[in-house]
Amino acid sequence: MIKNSISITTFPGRFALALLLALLLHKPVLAAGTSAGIDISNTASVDYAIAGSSSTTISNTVTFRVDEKLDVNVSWQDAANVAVGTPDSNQVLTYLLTNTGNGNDSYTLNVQNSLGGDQFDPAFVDIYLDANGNGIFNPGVDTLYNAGINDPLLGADASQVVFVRNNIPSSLSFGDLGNSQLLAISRTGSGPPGTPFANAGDNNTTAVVGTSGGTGNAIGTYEVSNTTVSLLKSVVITDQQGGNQPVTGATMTYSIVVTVSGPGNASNVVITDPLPANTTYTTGTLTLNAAPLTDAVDADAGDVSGTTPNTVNVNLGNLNQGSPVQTITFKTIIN
Amino acid sequence: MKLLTKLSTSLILAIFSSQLMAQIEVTAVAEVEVSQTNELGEKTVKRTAATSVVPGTEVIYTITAKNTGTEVADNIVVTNPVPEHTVYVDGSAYGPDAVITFSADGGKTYDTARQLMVTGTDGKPRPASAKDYSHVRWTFQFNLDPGQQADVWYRARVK
Repeated sequence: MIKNSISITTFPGRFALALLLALLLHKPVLAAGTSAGIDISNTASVDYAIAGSSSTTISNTVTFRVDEKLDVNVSWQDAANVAVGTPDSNQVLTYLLTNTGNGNDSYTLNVQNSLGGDQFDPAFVDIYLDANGNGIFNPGVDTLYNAGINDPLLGADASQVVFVRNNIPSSLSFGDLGNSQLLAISRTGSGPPGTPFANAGDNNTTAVVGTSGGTGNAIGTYEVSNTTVSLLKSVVITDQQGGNQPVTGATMTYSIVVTVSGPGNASNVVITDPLPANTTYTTGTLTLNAAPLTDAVDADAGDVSGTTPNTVNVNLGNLNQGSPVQTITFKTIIN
Repeated sequence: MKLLTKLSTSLILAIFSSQLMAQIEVTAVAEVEVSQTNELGEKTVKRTAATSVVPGTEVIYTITAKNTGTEVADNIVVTNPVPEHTVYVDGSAYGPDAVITFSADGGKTYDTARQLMVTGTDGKPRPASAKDYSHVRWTFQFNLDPGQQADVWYRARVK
């Protein structure tokens, strides 16, 4: 019985680096307006003359109070679709929650993943609140969100970075998209714009739902972008009688065909293939794309038993799905 | 001594009575517009007194000057500072037969909207815009006869 196995090492071509750049560039937010509870007063005056004698009269002072406007905004912060594998776990989407109202408010957060316009539904795991304000998810540092327990409380114009973690299903295709939506609902009140909530605002003002409806949401997107290197290995046996029996003295011509799929890059692809037991490598038979390679460790891409004893080692460098198919061949003789 | 007391008392009375008998009374009213849809589906806009409003709301200020005296008043000028936390709504000031001017320097100087200038951030003068206005002023081109009154108004948006 002749066994053989094959392995590859490759630097994973996944996880968009653009993520980090985007996080610190928080969107500028318009000022929410005059604080809830402030009184606005107005007094007019009139100057006049009677028979050449000037006088001034001051009016009554008319005053009204500024109510609390309930508005909230959620925006997705990742610069590009978040690259994931299939399956994959605890993949982070980053959002910015902003109180665009004019008073203090807290928000209930939840995640909706059954959305249209995508190829798969991520499976919700949990929500974290950025605790150290660096905009980057730090396990063990950032705070797990529990609805009703630590709903984020924000003053007017204040923001909170929120991380949503989802799992990614298996057996997806490259380029598949999965949407995940973060919703924030004002705990003071939500509903059609203009809906009042008596005494619910700061300083016992009326809280009035603003144009946002007291809710905000944003959709973040995952993209299956795992780059896969596929190897197809075949063998042709030629025995000394001109047949194809795996008998002592027969030559085994191995062929390894390497293809790359997926949108990313596979960096520094190295194919290592231990020589089958009970066979002897035929010196000088290693080829890459039909061109011979020396057996020694040298300038060319491959060696046999040089990097690793009894192992074929070929360095294919960087590959992507547009690269030509790479074919490695070598021969052994059955002992 | 007795004479002096009498004199000062009459003087105080004189001042007091002149205030009581002010010839022009001025009242200010703040209102907001509430749009309503009636049972016929028609949209109507109703004005109600502003008691509390959210930022972004336009408040309508109406100032009424009334001659409550017995003599004709002339050279009538109504002045209203644009309240703190609000901004004047461009083009909203109106007063029948009144010249409307604005101040952008806290009421020191006034000019028409077309001519009012302010100092820009670059130190150079530039035309003032509505958000620069600190005061609105109506200079009546008519006299108020006894018992007569006139309204002026403008809108301010709560910041």
